[in-house]
Amino acid sequence: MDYKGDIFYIRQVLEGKTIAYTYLVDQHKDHAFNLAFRICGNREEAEEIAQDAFIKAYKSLGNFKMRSSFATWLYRIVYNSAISLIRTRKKVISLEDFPGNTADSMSYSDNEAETKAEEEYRNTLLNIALQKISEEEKGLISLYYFEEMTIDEISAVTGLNKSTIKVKLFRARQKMLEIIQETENRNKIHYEKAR
Amino acid sequence: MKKPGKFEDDILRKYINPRKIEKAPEGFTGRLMTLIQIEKVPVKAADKFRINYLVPVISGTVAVLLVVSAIFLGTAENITAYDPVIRFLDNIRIPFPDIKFDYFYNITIPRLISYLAIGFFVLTLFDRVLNSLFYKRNKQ
Repeated sequence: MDYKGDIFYIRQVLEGKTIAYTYLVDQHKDHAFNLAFRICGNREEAEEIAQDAFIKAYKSLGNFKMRSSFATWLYRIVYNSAISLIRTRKKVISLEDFPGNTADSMSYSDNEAETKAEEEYRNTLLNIALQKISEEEKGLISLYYFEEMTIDEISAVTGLNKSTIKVKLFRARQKMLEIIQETENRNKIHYEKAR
Repeated sequence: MKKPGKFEDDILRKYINPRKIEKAPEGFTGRLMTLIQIEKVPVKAADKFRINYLVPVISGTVAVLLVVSAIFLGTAENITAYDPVIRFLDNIRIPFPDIKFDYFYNITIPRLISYLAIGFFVLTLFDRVLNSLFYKRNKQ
């Protein structure tokens, strides 16, 4: 069935057809989950955050202004929930929680496998770097790079002004690159020693 | 979505694949919709305002109408609309108001019953009207 747009389903929900919310959930669940996951780094927590965000959105659907984007509105809830959850729990996350931690299982048997392994290695490096930046920076990095949002859209989600976002993104990016380079250098040394 | 040019030559992009997003776990929608079914159906902001403020608005309006009609209609022998107000002002005694208890002594039981019956009738009518207005919403 073709997706008829967010507004169509929102109107249906407001008319009492709760089931129409299923379409909205299906449409946005992966991005909402991904954003929560990138911020908190844990699948269970990310699911909880995404679920809570959808419930909050449902409860206050009556206050939603039809002119704005439902996705932006939902991401704002996810972003705020994830940030506040991390701040209150201050849980130390394990690297195992992150995806693509397969650096040890790299195989160079053929080109395809090599490309895949390289991609996974890069992903691992990225996740190591993501672990070491603040939750707010994780959120910004996720919105900018994974969700491919513009600075204006990020501003609408986070409530931060555009220049603050640019500065924070720049710093987060620098920090991450430093961490990635450090880890790569360390890995090279270990690899050479092992040989 | 078009991005601003500032980070276009971004080395970090080498490590990020935006298509590779983490997907929500299996059964996410089902579990969520089960929780949603328990929640009340959301209502439009305009409806919410009407529901929250209709009772006080109606009560306030009725109270104001009753006070105004009491002042302007006054007793049976009023001549002009302003007479009761003037009489009321004249009757104000400082420091103690002059309350005439004779009126209460003269009330007979049949008269009292007729007043009470009318009072009950008006209140029941008022209650029925409000109930018919809000019953549907509460049921949701």
